[in-house]
Amino acid sequence: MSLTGNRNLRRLGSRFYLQLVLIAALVTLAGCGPKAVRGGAGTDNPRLDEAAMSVTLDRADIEYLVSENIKALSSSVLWNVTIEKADTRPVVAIWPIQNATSQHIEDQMAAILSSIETYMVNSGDVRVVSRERQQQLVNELRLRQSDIYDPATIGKFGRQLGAQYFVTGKISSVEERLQKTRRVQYSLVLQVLEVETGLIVFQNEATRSKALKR
Amino acid sequence: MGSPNRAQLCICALTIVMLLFGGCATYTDILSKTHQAADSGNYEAGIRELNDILGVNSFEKIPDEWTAHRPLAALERGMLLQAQGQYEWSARDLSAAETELEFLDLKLDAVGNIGKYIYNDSAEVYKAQPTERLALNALNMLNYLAMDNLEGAGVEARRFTLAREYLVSLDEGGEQGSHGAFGSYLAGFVFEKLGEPDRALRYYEEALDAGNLQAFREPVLRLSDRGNYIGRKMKEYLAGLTASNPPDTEPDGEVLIILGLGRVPYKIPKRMPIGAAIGYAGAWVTGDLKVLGYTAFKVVVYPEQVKPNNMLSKATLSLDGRDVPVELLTDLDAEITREYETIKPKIIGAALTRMIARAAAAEGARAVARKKGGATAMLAALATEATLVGLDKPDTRSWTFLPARIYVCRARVNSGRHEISVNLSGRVRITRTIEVEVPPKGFSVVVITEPR
Repeated sequence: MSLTGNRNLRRLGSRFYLQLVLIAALVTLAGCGPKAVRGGAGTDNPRLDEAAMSVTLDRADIEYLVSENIKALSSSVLWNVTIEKADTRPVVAIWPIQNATSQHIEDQMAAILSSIETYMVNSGDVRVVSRERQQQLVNELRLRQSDIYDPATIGKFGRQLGAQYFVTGKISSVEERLQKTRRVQYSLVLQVLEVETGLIVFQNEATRSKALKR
Repeated sequence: MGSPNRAQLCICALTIVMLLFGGCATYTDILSKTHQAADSGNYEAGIRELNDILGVNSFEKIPDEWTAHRPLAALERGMLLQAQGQYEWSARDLSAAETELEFLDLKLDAVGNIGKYIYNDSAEVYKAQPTERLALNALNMLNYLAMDNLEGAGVEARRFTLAREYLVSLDEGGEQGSHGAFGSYLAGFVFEKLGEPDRALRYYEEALDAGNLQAFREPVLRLSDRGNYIGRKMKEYLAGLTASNPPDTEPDGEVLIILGLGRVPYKIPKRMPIGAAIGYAGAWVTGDLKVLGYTAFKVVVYPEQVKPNNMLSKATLSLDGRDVPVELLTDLDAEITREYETIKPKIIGAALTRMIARAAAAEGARAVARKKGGATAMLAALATEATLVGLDKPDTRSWTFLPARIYVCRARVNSGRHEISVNLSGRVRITRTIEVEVPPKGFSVVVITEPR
């Protein structure tokens, strides 16, 4: 082979090598992008939901707080004596839970209400007023957010809905920060109010803590 | 031609680094177009500029990755969105930025902390100043109040308290001043409306630092009848009121108007002769000042605070044709200035320390070059120092769209529709009419933000 031929071959070789390096780099970089994964039981990542991602409430916290309260409610005198032994299944309205925390947890609160509602409906012991109907009435009465947690409003509202009991509650938090650690202690208080008397006939508290540590 | 020696290789490497990073603009440079757009009242264009910085194509989006200036840019965009009445998006931006700033605060930034004293003023992750930190939750309370979301405002009020307690624990919130008063006043309002009179009174008492404002009179008198809390300051205040100013409690509703006008001072790179800098911040310098005798650069570059040419500074209001008092609740301009003056010696001290590091590196390069041949020694020292000067970017980061002054106007009104006429003045004049609907025994909050 001539000298020029050799040089061309070398040039071609080095160009091919450069292209190979570029492709390899692109493939490597493409592999660095985010990747979606499926998690939970029956998947390759069964423990995906277990890790805490922040100090806000996640599904595991919500399930824990709700189940602790529901456990206490289902073993209470109110449930076992008054409700289960009533001639007709009492009507229960599930009222918004008050957020008294230092976190914007509107979505989590909606999840808590849904979990409580699911338990009540599936228990078969009570009849549950749909939350859409409640919202309709709130709109009709032009209630403001500040009126919603007023006991007088709850009583009046309950009678209009034909409910004997109101399930409501409050989620509060104590937040502390020391040097590089931040801890939030949540408590979910679940209450059942008797509409006719305005009395609290059941109350329980469940707690959960979250922390951000370095 | 012989192979290059180590000194020449070092110079080459430093020059490449300088070319790569030396051209980096400061935060103020990056924001200049946004400021220009806001000054002309074109907040929409300002938001578009900030979208670019945030790496998104719409104000409805927040970045996937919070790199570089993005947490600060989200704070800036939050204020422009508030100015446009986009309260929901503004709240989203301020909350997202707050979360990121909290993460940065908890982050172990050893490289940045050291880098600040060795090569670059902007090497450290951004840490919000106490005034910024407290104003964040107070301004977000406004977003929720404007949306009539009292529960959301309550969350921000609690966050405000936590931030203040944390700053006090770090000994950074001791000089609370009027910026704390702004947040306290709003928190008082929120807890009053949430039906917690004692808690509201405690916040109002804190807010009394802002002065004997008319905006306190009626609510404090009304709450002191219902609540049990009466602190020392509140006792004194009430004693002064009941003697001469009987309350007028006839109307069943009320209107709260909060105005945020102008922008707080921002930072620009500035030079200061070495001698003056040593005189100013000698106590904060780490290293041997004698090394500075060898340096070719005789000035220190540091971030100096300057006041923007604010377009708006005054406000007058009328409610249903009747003039109502507009009172200064917080002078954030003064707070930010005071805060900067406190830390300025430390900033200049760090700049001098970096200068010492640069001079020492230059001397090292000179010594190596002299050993190898001698002819390039001077050049090596100069190039090394020039390169390191190019790498040093003054830290001009701050929340620039924070309103310079916050005004308050509070009036009892009957429920129903009301008309508010707003007159803003300064270098430009703006007149606006706003209609509000006050529900029976309720309230309405009007937020006017003009960060220009």
